[in-house]
Amino acid sequence: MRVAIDPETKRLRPVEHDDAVGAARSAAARGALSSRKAANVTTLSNGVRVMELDESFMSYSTARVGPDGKPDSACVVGQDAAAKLLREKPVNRTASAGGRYETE
Amino acid sequence: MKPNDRRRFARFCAAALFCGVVGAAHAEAEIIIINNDPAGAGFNDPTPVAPVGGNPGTTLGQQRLIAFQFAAEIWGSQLKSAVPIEVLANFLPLPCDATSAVLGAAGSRYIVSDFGAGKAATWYSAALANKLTRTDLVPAVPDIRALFNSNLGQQNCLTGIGWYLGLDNNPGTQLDLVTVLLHELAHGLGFQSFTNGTTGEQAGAPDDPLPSIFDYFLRDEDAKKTWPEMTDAERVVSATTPRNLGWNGHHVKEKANKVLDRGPPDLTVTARGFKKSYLVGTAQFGPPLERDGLRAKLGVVNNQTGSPGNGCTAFDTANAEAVVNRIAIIDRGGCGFTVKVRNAQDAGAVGVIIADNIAGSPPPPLGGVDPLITIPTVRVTLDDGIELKALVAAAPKPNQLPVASLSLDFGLLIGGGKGNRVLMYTPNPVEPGSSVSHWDTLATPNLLMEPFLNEDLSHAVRAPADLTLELLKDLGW
Repeated sequence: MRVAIDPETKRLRPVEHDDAVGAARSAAARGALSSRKAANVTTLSNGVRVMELDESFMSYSTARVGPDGKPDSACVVGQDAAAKLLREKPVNRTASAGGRYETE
Repeated sequence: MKPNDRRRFARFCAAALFCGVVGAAHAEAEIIIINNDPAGAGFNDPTPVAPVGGNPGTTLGQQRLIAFQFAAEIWGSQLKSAVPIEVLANFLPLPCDATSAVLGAAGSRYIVSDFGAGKAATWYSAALANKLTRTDLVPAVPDIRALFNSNLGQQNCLTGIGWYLGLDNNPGTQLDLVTVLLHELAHGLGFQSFTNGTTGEQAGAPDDPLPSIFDYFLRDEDAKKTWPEMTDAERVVSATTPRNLGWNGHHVKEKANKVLDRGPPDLTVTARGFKKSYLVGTAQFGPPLERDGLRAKLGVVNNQTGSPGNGCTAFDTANAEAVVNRIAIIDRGGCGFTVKVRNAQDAGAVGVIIADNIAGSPPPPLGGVDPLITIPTVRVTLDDGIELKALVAAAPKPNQLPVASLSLDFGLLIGGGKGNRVLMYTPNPVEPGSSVSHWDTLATPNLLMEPFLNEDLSHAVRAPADLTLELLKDLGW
């Protein structure tokens, strides 16, 4: 069975001819980093379950400039985790096997 | 692209302003980059640029899209799927200031369970579920979402540090877009647990909690359970017990010893009726640890009047007597690590253990440069430092002091646990979003899917240079 997630109601429904257009327009209209938290699980009549993922499940690459002037980049999942990482005070550290070097 | 998909995509392109399509000529899986940017911006930015690092684009937008295509082709050439993988992509302004920035974000748009293939009652990423069923299960929605920062390098957006759009992995002081894309696309393809590492709660909770297919390969060594076999509370403990959660998939286990070096650092301490191994961070300075290692009694450095921190000035007589011919335990803080170690070395110590002054595990490595340091140094956690100092204090006589052995354990891979199970990143305290869905930072050489993007990464995604593809194969790719 092929289904579509209605971009406005977030509920599953049969595929319509202009779904692709609607999905793209809706995604653009939502904005890149809109925040939605509720789990959105739909169980179809044939038992297939679909959960649409919000930004809390996306992986964010972040970077901060350390005191040495070099970017220190990291990957976290979720917009909140990314924001928290950027708020932290940068330390003088460089990439290495085993993590980040701190000098004191 | 199947005929129906081709028509559908053509309709999409007709509605969107611009589209970029990727299908590598010899790809096993077709990855379609759907350019979701408006005219004049992002992938459509007309700013003229000179070709760079094998990227022939002549506008900024073209070069961005070509770099995306390049990363997509790398993955497309390694994966097999009868269903095209659609990536809805934007290059647009994301949060940043002069010294920090969100570089980009990516992830699966939806997850699916009970779709007639794979493991029942288990969440799969959209692209993987489509591959397993040979059907686009939710055809109206792209499988992966990808957003990348268009302002990077401009004033007040990680000023001066922009994207390197070359394809030759030679970014210099810039950030290599292809490397970041390879990493983030891997998460979108399924290199991710959808279970919350902070709460232990499975995706879909409270009404439809189900494990992720990723979770079935997470094996906790202490509990001897996989994540689906655990309660939420047990998963929280598992996600915050460093270097105890291994990947139990046969593709990764089979190739791990071709990718990872052998001989992680080991600190074993013995005392009367006591023997224990401790996690350590190694030092950038001084001699590396060796297989046979260093074995000596422990001594504790006490604070001295006028010193900005433990071990920060030349040792007085009492401290010198405590560490001569011994491995000195010195608290972190007050001065650089190299200062402490030089002072201990000058006092006759044969090695140093830096005890962290901040809670957290595993202990990170020690940085610094001093070519005159000739003794080995490691770092232990705050809690372990307290324990080691208590052991020293409890020794009734100097000849009964605990003995430490600093060496390399060639029975293990660096970044691997028992049975070649490669370790997942499970720091304590938990790092929301980083924990579990990345390899442990100990892995040597560095791997693409560690939480930190290391400078020495190539664009390789499979053995013998990397293990990302092997993990995806374990999931069902």
